[in-house]
Amino acid sequence: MASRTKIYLSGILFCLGSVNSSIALAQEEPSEEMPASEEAAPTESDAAEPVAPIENTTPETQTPAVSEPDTSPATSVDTAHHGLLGPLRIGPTASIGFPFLLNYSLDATWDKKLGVSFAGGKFSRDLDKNSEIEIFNWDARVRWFPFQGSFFLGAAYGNQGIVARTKQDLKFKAGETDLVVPTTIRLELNTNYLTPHLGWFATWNTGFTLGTEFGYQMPMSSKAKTQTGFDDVSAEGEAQVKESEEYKKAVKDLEEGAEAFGKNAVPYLNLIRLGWLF
Amino acid sequence: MQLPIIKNTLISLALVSTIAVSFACSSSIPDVESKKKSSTVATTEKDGVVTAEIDANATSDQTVVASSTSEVADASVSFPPGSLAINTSIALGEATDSSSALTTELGLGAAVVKAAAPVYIGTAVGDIPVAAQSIALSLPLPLSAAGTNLTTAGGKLVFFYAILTAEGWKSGVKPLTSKDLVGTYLITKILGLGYFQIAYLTTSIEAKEMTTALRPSLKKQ
Repeated sequence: MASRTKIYLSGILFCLGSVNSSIALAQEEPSEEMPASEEAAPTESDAAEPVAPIENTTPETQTPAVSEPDTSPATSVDTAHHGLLGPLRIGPTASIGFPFLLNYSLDATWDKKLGVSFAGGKFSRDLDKNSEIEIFNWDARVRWFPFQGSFFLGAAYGNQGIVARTKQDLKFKAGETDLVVPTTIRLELNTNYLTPHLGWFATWNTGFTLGTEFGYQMPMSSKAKTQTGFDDVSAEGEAQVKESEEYKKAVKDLEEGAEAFGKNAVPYLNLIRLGWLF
Repeated sequence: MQLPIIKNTLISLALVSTIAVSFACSSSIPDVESKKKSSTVATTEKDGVVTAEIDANATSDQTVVASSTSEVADASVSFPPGSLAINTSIALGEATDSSSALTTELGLGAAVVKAAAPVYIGTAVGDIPVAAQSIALSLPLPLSAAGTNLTTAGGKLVFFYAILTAEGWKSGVKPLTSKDLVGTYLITKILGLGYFQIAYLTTSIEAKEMTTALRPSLKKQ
């Protein structure tokens, strides 16, 4: 199992951050970081498990580690990546990707075997001076680390909202007289989604966490709500305007734009995830 | 030694995640709704007629909006400071229709294709006061949807009125252009209280005004 892990992980960049992975890890990790990590660990922990992991030791500190004859390699590997709560590491991360440009998460991992996360984010943008769009989401996700390294298989279930608002001057005729009706249309599309994905989620001994992931976001159910606001339009006028082709076209254009995101399956990509797990 | 650190860390993380969830579960783009008119003075309503006491010494506009359940819903009138010389109880409601009488009296030679319910602005009882300054009217257009054309009439939009001026009662008609319209309202200023109506005529007309024998009144409910 361990050798298989080493072979697999040695080909992946993010495995270099895995505590219990191959020698390549020890070579990649900055030599200053490891002593700092060890210093950060409480001295009583050292007393209980007196030997630092061999693979995490810089050349200067390797000699005393090797000189300890009765250290169990298994024990040192199991505990070196522990955090404040032992095998449970928990902390915040932030990610950049698609369709959610920026998400903040509370992540937790258990002994490099399982992970859970709760994430959320919001992003808005003005499309032009009269239109704006906002995407917000939250989701809960689980990660399974089959090789107890950084590679994981995961799934996320959550909800995303897409809100688009546009302000238009709809043009009509009252008899032969031109009429301009300032109209604001707001569409909110809420979609529950399921996102199977895979990726790498590496946590250094210090707690520094780096990851990337990709998958497929599938809509499960959605609910749309359209609101319309008029300026200077009577109740009778409002009813009539809503029956007009001009108005129906404006609403349809907005719905199609939002539904392209909200009701279709889209690729899910998390370019980079950065954080700190304590 | 570690317990306070762990406890504080978990509390902080819980707090951060709670804030994050509340942040991510709602949109910052506010809901939209149509702006509704409302009176700026105290009003009473009976049989679709709204009555308000207009203070002659008010220093700001006093707006009265018609009953939403009446045929003249959304019509409103604003009295700028100094528009009435004495405190007056003003009634706003549907007037008895005089559109045919007005077209005849004004000699328009055009028939009314479609007309909005006429609006009465005056006193519920007693004489209508003469306005010292122009009042601001906001009257909804008569509309019916047909594609991008909000009327099936294709007629000429005009504004009828019969008002009491310093020179006596006068009736008049004015063709409307896009400049007179804001949204689906006619917004205009006029020096007098009385009868007001928007209509579509079959043919174009010139603006006219003349002395009238017409005396507008609230429509009997």
